[in-house]
Amino acid sequence: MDGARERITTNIRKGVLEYCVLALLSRRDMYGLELADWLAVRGLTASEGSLYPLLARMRQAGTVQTRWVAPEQGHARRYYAITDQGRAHLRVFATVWREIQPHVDELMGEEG
Amino acid sequence: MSDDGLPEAAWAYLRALDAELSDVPSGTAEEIVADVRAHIADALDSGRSADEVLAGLGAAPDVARQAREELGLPDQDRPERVGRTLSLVASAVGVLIAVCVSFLLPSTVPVEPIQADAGEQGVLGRLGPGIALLTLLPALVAAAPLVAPARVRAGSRLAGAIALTMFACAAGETGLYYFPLALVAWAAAFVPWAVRRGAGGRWWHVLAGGIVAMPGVLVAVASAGGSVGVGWVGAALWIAGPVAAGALCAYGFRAGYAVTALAGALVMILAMAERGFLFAAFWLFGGLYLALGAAGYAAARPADGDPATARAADGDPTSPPVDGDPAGAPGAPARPRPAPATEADPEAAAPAG
Repeated sequence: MDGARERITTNIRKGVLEYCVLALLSRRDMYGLELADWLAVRGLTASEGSLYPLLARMRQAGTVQTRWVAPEQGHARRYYAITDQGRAHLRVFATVWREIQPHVDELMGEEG
Repeated sequence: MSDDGLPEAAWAYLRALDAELSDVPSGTAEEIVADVRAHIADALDSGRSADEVLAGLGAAPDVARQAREELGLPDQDRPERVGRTLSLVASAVGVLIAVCVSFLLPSTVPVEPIQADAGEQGVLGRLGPGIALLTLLPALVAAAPLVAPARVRAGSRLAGAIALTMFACAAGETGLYYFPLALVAWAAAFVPWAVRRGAGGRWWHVLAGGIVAMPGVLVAVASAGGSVGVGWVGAALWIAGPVAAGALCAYGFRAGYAVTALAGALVMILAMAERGFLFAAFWLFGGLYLALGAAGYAAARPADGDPATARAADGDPTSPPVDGDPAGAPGAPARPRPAPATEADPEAAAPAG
């Protein structure tokens, strides 16, 4: 059963992780570790490392953009910010999610 | 602790990740590595141990697999690809040598040492007793890893290299012909292992370039001392050729390794055709060129031609300017790659702590 659980978890995460990132970034700009920690603590990503290839692809797709911020102390951080295109994608996802979610919940409710 | 003081385990992880990302477009690979480096530095700042941070990131090959998946690239383990390329080269070299031995030198083939080699009697029986087919046996040993199951593949490369070396040493004059094959077989056994461990830094290229350039340097020294007369054509061929190829290899240019491998094959073929004075020297050195060139070609990064220059062009990565590049197109300005601590990378060179 552990194998099945892992497969199901992986598949569901695959579908939602990108939009969780967009939703987080729609609140405020965040740097890599912040994003990774937030997602990993909530079990939305299996390993923190897998976040960065996703961010690279999202950057290419134009849903996020980045800037380096060099604080007076310590090292530079690359901050991620959501773009207008990213917000548009996020709105579409939210609509679809709200349509699907109650039905899935209803069915899963029967499973206890 | 600042970004400058990453522990060696973190550098090793970044080097391994960088190597695993070799088939990802270089701009994207650099972004991912730079992000992971910043992640590690931030996490260490927050008081986590290096082991904890690296475990949280997940294994480098897994991150690379994720990247290939995100970018729609074919999923193939890089060390495995390198090993496969070198096993293919070894098989081709084995066939070439078999053709030379069986057609150009039919009288020098002793049957016994081949039969005694590596317990291959089963294959032998199926192939029948033809001498010409016997000479192909070493090529089959070199090709075996191509069809071996994944879990014994690395072992079969090592076993093949050992068997071919023993055969080359034990089989007298015939063995001499198979030395180049043994060299390529060792490359096929060693290079994937080195790549998996994240090797492939500049010093490997410098070492390879030095070996490639050596004959040119020797000829130059000999002709300068007057002990060998060299015309300008000879000078171009035997001095400028190796030195230029060596320089290209030392900079990590893939083309330099390709030229070196082809030159090695050519020298071997010419040596075989001429069979003149110093045959063994030309044959073995041609084989060394071929093995070295094939190893470097398989291990060098394909996408970003010149890693040494890319690193030299890096600015100070600790205070990069605003990076207003929303599209993040492949081939975007180079972000720093992780480099071994010995290299002239401002971050790596800084003392730890």
